[in-house]
Amino acid sequence: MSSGSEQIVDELVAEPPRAHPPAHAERRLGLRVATALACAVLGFLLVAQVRAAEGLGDRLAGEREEDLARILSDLSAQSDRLQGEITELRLTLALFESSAESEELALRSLQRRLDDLRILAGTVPAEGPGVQLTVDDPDGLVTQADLVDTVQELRDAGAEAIAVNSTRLIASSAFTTRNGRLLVDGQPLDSPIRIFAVGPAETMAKALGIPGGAIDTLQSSPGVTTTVESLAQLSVPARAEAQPFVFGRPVPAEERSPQDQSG
Amino acid sequence: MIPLVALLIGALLGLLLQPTVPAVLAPYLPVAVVAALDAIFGGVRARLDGTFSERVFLISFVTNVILAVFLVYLGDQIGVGSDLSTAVVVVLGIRIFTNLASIRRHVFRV
Repeated sequence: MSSGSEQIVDELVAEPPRAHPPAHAERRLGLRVATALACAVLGFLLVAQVRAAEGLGDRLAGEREEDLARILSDLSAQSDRLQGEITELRLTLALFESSAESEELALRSLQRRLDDLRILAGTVPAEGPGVQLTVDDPDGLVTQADLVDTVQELRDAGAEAIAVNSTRLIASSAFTTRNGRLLVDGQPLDSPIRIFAVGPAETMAKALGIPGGAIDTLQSSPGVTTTVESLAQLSVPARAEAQPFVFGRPVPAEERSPQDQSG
Repeated sequence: MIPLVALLIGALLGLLLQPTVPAVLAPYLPVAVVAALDAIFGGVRARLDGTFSERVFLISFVTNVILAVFLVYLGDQIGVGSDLSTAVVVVLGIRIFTNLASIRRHVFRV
């Protein structure tokens, strides 16, 4: 630190520039060159430092160990925090995925149940294997009781959807007579009566044919002939419209006794 | 005039050669540059005062740089880290400002 002005003055008092002896001429030239060299070195270092300060990697290279340690600990703390955030978000994602999955499962089981109930209520056409029972009754001797027995027999054997001629049988279906004519849900039943039942075809065919069963009863009337066909694929039509319930209302869930909740 | 040209030549050389600072020297180079700048401005001021001497300038240049680098090295060794280098840069900065004020008085006569 020798560039203080007092010191310079001292130097100059000892060596005034105007009155330098000739012996010093060579030395002065050397000093000039050295000064120029020093300036050149400064320019070089300046540029080198400016270039070194550019860019993160070079900037880190210029940091001291403690600073690097601090930067490192900062960065690892940040990394830890972000890692924790990733874990948390992954957990949330897994939660959402599993809940979406269970929701989909619930939806699928509900859809199945809805399908079952629709078939039961007859609001949709149903198809599948089953039997077709044709009752040829030219004299109109088949009674409603015979038909009720037959339908009961089919249901007992596992029929899931039944149609008589083109009328789908539902929970409220009834066979009636008016003026000696058979009716099903108000629709006249003309011979031949065709009963379609979707369900286990073999079981139903056997059930119909048991001695003293539905077919025997039907055929006990003179002139009545029946044929039973097992079909791999048959379809029953839907009810034109669902019957609205006027009197019945579901019992609220909290009032039900445990044994009512089944199904 | 010659020193200014030399400075420009040095800068040009730096741009052309694109030197990479070795990692060992990286903490010391900024302080060295500031110390050298201090010496340069001190020289300019002495020139304007009419008291310039190459000998003084050269000694000032070399000792400035060496002392500054040594102080920073010492700071690293005794564990005060960048604090001492900050101290060196602040002191040198004050000196540069003082010299610049003198130069300003010479150039603008205020």
